[in-house]
Parts: sequence; C-alpha cells; structure tokens
Amino acid sequence: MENMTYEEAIQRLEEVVKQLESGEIPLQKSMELFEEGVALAKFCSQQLDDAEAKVQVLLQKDGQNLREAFDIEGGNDE
Amino acid sequence: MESLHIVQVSELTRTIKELLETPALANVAVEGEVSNFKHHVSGHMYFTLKDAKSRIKCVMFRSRNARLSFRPSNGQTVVAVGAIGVYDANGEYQLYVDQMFSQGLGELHAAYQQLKERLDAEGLFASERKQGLPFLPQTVGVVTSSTGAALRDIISVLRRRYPAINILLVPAQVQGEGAAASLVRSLELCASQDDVDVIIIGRGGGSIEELWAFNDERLARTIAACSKPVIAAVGHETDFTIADFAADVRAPTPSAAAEMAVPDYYNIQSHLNRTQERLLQSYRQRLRYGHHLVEQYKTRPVLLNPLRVLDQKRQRIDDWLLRLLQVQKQHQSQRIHHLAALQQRPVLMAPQRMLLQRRHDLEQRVSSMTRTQTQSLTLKRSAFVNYVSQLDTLSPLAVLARGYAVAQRRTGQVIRRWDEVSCGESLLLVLQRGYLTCKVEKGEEHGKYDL
Repeated sequence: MENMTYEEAIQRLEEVVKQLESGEIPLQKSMELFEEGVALAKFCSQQLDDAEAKVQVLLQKDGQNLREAFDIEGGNDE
Repeated sequence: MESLHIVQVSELTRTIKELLETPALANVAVEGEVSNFKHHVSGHMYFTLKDAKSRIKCVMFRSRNARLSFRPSNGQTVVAVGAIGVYDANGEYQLYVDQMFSQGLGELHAAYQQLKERLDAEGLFASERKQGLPFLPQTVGVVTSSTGAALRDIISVLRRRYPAINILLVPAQVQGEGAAASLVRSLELCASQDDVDVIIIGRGGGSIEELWAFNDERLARTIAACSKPVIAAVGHETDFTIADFAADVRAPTPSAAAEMAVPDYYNIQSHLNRTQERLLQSYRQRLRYGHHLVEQYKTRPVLLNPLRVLDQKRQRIDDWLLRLLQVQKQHQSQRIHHLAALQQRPVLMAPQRMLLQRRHDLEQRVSSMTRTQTQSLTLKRSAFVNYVSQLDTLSPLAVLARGYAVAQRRTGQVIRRWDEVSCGESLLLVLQRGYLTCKVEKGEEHGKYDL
C-alpha cells in the first residue's frame, strides 16, 4: 500500500464502501473488505497529516546545499 | 456644368472614414519621432509622430497609456502600435495607439516574438509535453525572489489552503543582469530535491524590461525539460512571457499558482471522514443483517424441534403402507370377481349343450344345402326334359316316323334335288327303320299339284 498515492487510496476506499453498501456481499468477503477499508482510511489519514508545515529555504553555503527554516518576514540572502 | 453628385460634408467624412478604417490599417506598427507631446489633464496623451518626410497625429487614451513603462518625450524615437481612425468632427485621420515601445523596447518585443515562434516550431510548447500536477505534493518548491510580494502571496495561499504543506523556497534573482542564469540555477536545484513534487516559478508584476529574464531561451528549455511539473506565475494576468508557454501550467498570478499546487485540505479531510463513516455504517449494517437472519432461522421449526421432522416422516410411511394394503386387497377381490365371472360363461358351464347346439346347427345347414341342391337338380331335369322334347320335335326321326325318307349318297351327302343325281347312280334311302340301297331309274321335276 505504501506505493499508492493519496488519490489512488481514496478511490479504492470509495469502491470498497460502495461494495459494502450494496449489501450483496457474503459475510466473509464483507469482513475482508471492511479490513481493507480500515487500512486504506488509516493510510489516507496519515498522508493528509504527514505534512509538517515546514517552510524552508535551500541555500548554497560553501558548496553545500543546506536547508534552513525560512522566516517570511526577514527574508534570506540568495 | 455636368450633373455632379453633390454630398454633404459629413457624408464625405463618413465615406473617408469607411475607406480608411479597414483591416489593413487596423493594426499597424509605426516608427517615428515624438513631437508636440501633450499629456492632457484627462489622462489622454496627444502627440505627433514624424519622420523626415511626413507626420501623423496620434492619440493614446488613458486606459492604454497607464501601462506604459516609460514616459514619452519630444525627440524620442518610438514604435507606436495601433489602428488608423478618422475623427468625425474634423475629418482628420489619426493613429489611435494601443501600445508603444521606446526604440529599445521595440527591439525587445521583436526579439520576444522571434524566440517564441522559433521555440514553438521546435515543439517546446506542445501540449503532449505538459505534465499533470500531482494531487497532493509532499513539498511545494518555490523559485522566486525571497523578498517581494509574490512569495508572500504564494505562502499565504498555500497555508490557507493546506496548512500542513511543506514549502521549500529556492531563491533567485528575478530581474536585471544575471537574473536568467540565477533562475535556471535555482530551478535545477529545486527540481533535484526528491521531496519536491511540484514547482512554482514566478514573480510579481512589472514592465517588459523587468519581466525580461522570463523570456530567456535557456530558462524556457530548463522549464520544458524539468523532471517535476512547473507552474509559471509571471507578472500580471495580461503578461505573457516565454516561461509561461514553456511551463506545464500557466497561472495568471502567484496566488492562483498556489491554489493550483495544493488541494483544499478541509474538503478532502471531510470527504475522508464521511467515507470512513460510511465504511463503518455499511459494515455494521451488514453484520446486523447477518444477525437478523440467524435469529429468523432460530425460530424455524426445523431448528427448534428437529426430531419432529422424523415423526412426520414416520407417519408418512404408515400412510403409504396402509394404502398399499388397501390396494392389495382391492386387487384380490377384483381377481375373485373376475374368476367367478369367467366361471359363469356358457362354455364352462355346460360344454355338451354347446356341442348339441353346434350339431343341430350343422345339420340344419346340411339339410338346407341338400334342399337347395335338390331344387336345383329338379330345375335342371325339367330343363333337360324340355330340351329333349324340343329335340324330339326337331329330330329327323320324328319326320321319318311320319313316312318321310332321306335320300343320301353313300358318302352321307343328302340329296335334295332331282338333278343332283344321275341315272344309274346308287343311293341310300334312310327309313324310319332301316335303309334301302336303290338305283336311280329316272329323275324329274315336280308337277304343280303333286305335293
């Protein structure tokens, strides 16, 4: 599942829910679907909240690429 | 005086206007020296463009000249782009100017056009080359000046839309000498970062000279070849630079670029929540339904009291046995009746009677046959007698009995005429009894009354 994008995961989750809602699924299969759905929802949640709200600037110092926190008010040298 | 077609002044002016305001003169670019420049209180600019041999009046209205990046002055050489029109009131033709470039600018504009056409012909701007933007980027890369309104706008919109998004700024010089090279370097650096999934490159509004770095050929090629999708946001909505054409998406403003780069967090979060809720509900529902079925089955007789089913079956067996016996009995009594009936038949009761009967019949038949025979015989006899008496009547013997004799030769041939025989011939005379051998003495014809 790690290789999925958020888009793919949410799409698959929708499919799973639709199938379960249709009510035509045998009990064993619906259990499996539910488990898959739970895993997908967890994955999506993680993806959404994965971002750390970092605002950084990439600078080149002494031939190296460095990332530093960026202060929007101050501005950094280019 | 010949008859002339006389018109009014306004009619003539109108005709001149129609003749001049044609597509051919609707978009001209004319180079000339500015003179008599007047920037009116209304905001409109009036001036004359001239060269060595001629001059033309020009007007550039406020709406157009507000965007001029320079202030025209007398003696300056400019390129004015606009349309020829005729002012109704005085019948004068003028150039209504839409754009104006100072000499240097005119050259810049031409260079821009040329480069744009050349790169387009190479296919650098083809839509097949454009990459799609990712739905949820890990990090948004931003290539712009670290000071400036563009960056502030981008960050503010990104944060509002998706608060947790990671942003990586790779600063660049966005105007002046070395800007193009700086942009190229920063863009390449930004694209090389693994976590960057989309890049916004741009700057705020400015004059054509200030935006000029974004028309650089190298930058265009770098953008087109960039491994990550690039959103270009250069200047105002109406500014188009070559970078805009080379990018995967062009945004009219830096804020618009930020909107394109990330989805709305709150939308997708609530969508995810709703979907999760549906998942739970539907599964619960499914389980409840399963339970319900089980409960129903539990109340079915077959599960409540399974042995009763056997009782039912047992009873069935007894019923069948009973029927079987009944049927057997029926068959038996039927057979007895049948037998008794057979015994009543005459052929079994008194065979002799039958024989007697048959004999009687036979005799009757025989006697009736005999009767018939006898009758037939009688008939035949009487017929016979008839024939016999007929024969008798016709018989020559009867004739002979009456005294007649038959004369015939020895051969048997009967003589009927006197001239059939010759004298001395020997004949036989057949009598009733016996016959005579005679010799003919004489023969003659009958007399009239002899017979």
